[in-house]
Amino acid sequence: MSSQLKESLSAAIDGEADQFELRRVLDEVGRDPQLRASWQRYHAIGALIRGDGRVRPPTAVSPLDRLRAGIDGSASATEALASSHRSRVGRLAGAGVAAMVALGIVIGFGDFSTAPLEDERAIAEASLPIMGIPASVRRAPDVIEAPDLSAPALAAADAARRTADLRPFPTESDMVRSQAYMLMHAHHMALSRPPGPTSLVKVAAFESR
Amino acid sequence: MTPAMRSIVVGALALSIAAAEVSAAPAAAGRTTDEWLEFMNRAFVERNYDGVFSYFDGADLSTLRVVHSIVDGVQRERLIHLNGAPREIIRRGDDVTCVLQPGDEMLALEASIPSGPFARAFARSLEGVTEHYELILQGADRIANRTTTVLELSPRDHDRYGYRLWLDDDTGLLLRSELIDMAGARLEIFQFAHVAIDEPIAAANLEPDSRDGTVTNHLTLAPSQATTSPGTSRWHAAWVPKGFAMAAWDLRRTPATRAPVNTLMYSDGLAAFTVFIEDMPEAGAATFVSRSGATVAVTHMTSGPDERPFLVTVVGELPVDTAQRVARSIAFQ
Repeated sequence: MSSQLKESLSAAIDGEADQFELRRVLDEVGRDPQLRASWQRYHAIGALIRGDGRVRPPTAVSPLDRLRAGIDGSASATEALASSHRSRVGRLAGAGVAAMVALGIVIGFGDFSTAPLEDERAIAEASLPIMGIPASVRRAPDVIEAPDLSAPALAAADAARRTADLRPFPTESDMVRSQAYMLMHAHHMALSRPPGPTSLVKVAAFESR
Repeated sequence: MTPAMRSIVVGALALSIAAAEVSAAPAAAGRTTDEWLEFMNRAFVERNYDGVFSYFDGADLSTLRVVHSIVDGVQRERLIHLNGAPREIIRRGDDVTCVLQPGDEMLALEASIPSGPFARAFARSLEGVTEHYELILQGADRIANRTTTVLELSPRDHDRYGYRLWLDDDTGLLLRSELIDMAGARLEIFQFAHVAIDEPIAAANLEPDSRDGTVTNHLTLAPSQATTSPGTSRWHAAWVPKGFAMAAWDLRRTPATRAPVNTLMYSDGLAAFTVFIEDMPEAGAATFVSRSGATVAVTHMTSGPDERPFLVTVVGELPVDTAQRVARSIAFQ
């Protein structure tokens, strides 16, 4: 899948594609099974991140079908997808995560803690498939709930709890934390000794995405 | 032959070849790779310069102006972001001030990260760099209408990125740099479009523009820097790439919850990464990898004191696999 197509796909899912771009994406989705799988996966991610809570199995009326119907039935199908313009920070929320995946800002997620340190191949295979979701994550529970971190729960530290604290997908708060630590790393570099010519550049040019 | 000696021999050979092939300026002739690095390091600190450069981080292209001078023995620097919302960074010795406008995205992010003075400076040292990078002189080029010598630092393993540096023949100032991954892709590019070197700098050019509503944020070192020292943190990385050592560590608190965040900073003299360790957020967290240019952030969950779950975030200019491996090795002693 070309990067341009990924961006178009993401824009369509985020409701930010114009009608021409949307129709082009839908045509491509109709022809390309791999693209169709990505389309469904992004919608699943978006549903989880938005807190819809439940990943529904494909139904007779898929998001793709609804979108096609929208194009055929209205002048602006994208309006049906709540296509208000979002800032780059705003993209951290909601289905913008699909955009971040598509743009390569989020390049993988899932638990990569089980691979042995010595086995680099296992690390690569078990952890972060680019544009993919590990099997363990695909089996994630339908409903995401905040983990119980009360004292009794902490006292019962065991392997099950280790996974209970982990969300299968990054949320807005996860992304903000990650971006904030990137900025703090840039701050550390700015105070390095001796200061280099580019040590302040990362702070000055820092862009949150 | 030690790696360092081998590097010197290789560097000398490369230099002799480059000197034969290229009409470098007289000042460039005869310098070894090590001497070029030293020349560059001195130029960072000692030279006056005022120029405009571009910075590409793999996704965005920024244009900035930098003004650098030594005033009464104190390093002064002013960096002005020339695109988008006005943003300036001012350095006076160890004090760095970010001058931002209301609404700048950086303000929202800074509100969520630990603030206050840093306990220690992030120490850089080019000593031993040749053990982990092969230094090769690549000949001459012209940047910002000045003749330069190109120095390549090629990593000897897959746990760090490489660099290509364009150094001004007359002054040693870095005029262009590239950060390169193992496949040869350029992850970051920094390049002057124009620069005046060693010309007088007016004091006013080192001061920020006054605008209504500006917001400042100070990054400083604590007055008593020796409150902590490397090795006293009970958190550590059980595995880091060869040549990386802890350059500093700090314990700070998040503004919102006052929750402690351990920060461990590692460097091999060129590359660097920071490890953030905090109690697992009450709402939980996801383990994932994000990237901004060459900077990668990897989150991982581990166990700390009393088997409590902790969230580890490794941020740095590292290959993803390496950052993951570091994250998984974080342990509490």
